[in-house]
Amino acid sequence: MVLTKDKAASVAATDEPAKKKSKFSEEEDNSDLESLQSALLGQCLCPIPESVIRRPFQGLKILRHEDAQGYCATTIANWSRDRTLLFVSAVQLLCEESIKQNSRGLVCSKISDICEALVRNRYGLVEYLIELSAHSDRFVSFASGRALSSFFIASRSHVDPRWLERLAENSLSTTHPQKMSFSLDVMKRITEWKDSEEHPLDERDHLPPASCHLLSVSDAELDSSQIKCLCVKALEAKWPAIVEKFDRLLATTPTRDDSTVVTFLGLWEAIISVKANLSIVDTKPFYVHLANFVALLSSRISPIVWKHMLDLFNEVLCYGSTLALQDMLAEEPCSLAHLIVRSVKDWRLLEAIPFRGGSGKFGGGSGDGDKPLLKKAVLLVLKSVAVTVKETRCESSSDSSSSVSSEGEDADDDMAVIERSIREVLRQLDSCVKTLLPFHPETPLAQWVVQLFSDQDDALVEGMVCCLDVTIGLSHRENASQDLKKVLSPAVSLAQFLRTVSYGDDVLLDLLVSNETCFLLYLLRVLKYMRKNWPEFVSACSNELGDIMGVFSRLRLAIERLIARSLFPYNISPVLRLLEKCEQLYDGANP
Amino acid sequence: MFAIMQVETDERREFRRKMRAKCEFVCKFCQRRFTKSYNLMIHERSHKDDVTFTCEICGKTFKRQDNLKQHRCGWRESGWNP
Repeated sequence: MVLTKDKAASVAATDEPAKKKSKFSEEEDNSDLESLQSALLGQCLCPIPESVIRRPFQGLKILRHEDAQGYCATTIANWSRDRTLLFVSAVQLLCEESIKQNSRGLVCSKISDICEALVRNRYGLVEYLIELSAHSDRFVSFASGRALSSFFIASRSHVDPRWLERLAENSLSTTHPQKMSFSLDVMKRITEWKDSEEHPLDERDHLPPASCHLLSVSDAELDSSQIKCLCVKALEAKWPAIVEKFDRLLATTPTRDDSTVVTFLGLWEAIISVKANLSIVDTKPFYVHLANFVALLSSRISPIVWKHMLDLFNEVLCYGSTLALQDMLAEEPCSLAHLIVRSVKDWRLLEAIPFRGGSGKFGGGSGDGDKPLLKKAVLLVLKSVAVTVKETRCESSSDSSSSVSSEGEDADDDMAVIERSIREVLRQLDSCVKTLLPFHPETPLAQWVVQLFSDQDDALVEGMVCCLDVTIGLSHRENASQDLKKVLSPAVSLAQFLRTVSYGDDVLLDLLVSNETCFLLYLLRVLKYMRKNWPEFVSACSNELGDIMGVFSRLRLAIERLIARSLFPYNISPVLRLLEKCEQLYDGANP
Repeated sequence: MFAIMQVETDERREFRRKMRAKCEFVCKFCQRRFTKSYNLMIHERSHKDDVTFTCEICGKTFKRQDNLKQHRCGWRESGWNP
């Protein structure tokens, strides 16, 4: 959020006593910041004299005083809250304009000059912005955090690692509670920054005026990966202390400050996320403390904190994007998956979900309940089960290929034990969902999963991949259980999914082309499953087989048309081949 | 007593090490390892801010089809009629 002059004034009007405001307005001249802001909105600083651009940055002085709660608060000397807000918002606007123009390859020379001066820390801006984390006005603190993260992104390769260390230290400071939240939020914004395209609505009037003196910049300066890496490195040393602080906070007292906890969990999730594009080596230290937080999932924790914890664990178990595609799973997600499976099976984790926000089983109380929370919990359990089965299967297939038959039998025994545990976990999951939502008692899990996630495509597709992989993983055993096969039936899931999208091949094509879900993986695996288990699949689909194969046939033609025009964005041939094979099987059965 | 809660023994560590040596395809974004190139391609797609839909008038690319449609409306409003 960038606060322009009008917005800053209206924010000030709501919170500040009239007397104080008038004291400053007589003395203060904000014309420098106002002209800077309006020029930045026009995307060019060329018409503004150099002295006006630099004036607000010169001679800043931070004052410290004790606030009403006894904490050490800060202000900028002789500046009102309005001017401070205008200043930090102008910094944010300047940095974000610089980022945007750099990504287009052409930057206004004066924007480039002032950013260069700030990045060289000629005016000590970083220190001031960090100091403002303890400003007595929380709007100023918030806006300073936004400005600081934009400043770091704009600085990219020129960032001094000591600034980030200072910021990480600030997150453990005890002089003001706001400081922790401020630092964690800045780190989070940096970590989750995306060097992405503009919104189409921004593009029409995006060119600076013709009179602007533009400089061209090279591609090398566009990437934010270096600043992200520096940020994570700076945080690494402080991480155990930060985690311990929150662990204690959540374990000992009912959470009073949920927003700081949510920021902390959001930062953790952003670091772990595949989307952050960070090296797995750099993020390894951030996987260490997860088990302690699983133990914290109880009715003492508020629903909002529950949700963010579940988001974090779901991110660690990045099944559809990563784990499902690997032959050897990393130790950390496997340990988390085991713990979740055991927590559900032996310690009744699902009963502690605060679905209705009250006390007792599933949160007691009344009302519609928190469906998003339940969906996150269901997805986590499905992923944990899938990871556990996959890990056991990978290890046993590797063992049996290189060892004597008795070891192969051991592996089969392992899978039998896993299967018993999985059956119990899925039984509890089924019972939990049917207690909380109005599903028919006979609805199989394979069907209600699709119905539950029908308004959230990424979770829907990932949930279907999990069910499919568990079926495939368990079916390799000679004495595989038939009841689990029925509960997780891939044919039932696929039929329900296609009913949900009204048999629209265009929806399937959109899901395939976009990378927002793992639909490519799902389609590949479900087609392989169909080809391998054709008679079983046909009997499970019964009278819906024609509709299902109709969608697949139209999808194949649409893909072929795109390939013919070289418009398919990646190699889709494996899917195409499987679609053809399944069609042949269908045509063979229905000549 | 509970097979799911496996303890990380020396043998398991050795097994993981051997498996790691087998992997040939490394993700350029996160350095995770995969044994099949197609699996790596699927994984790498989730790292990217995909730009996949291309405007036939100006060549600009979009991640979502609805954004491209919105962009095309801009051309129509400006009087462009391909």
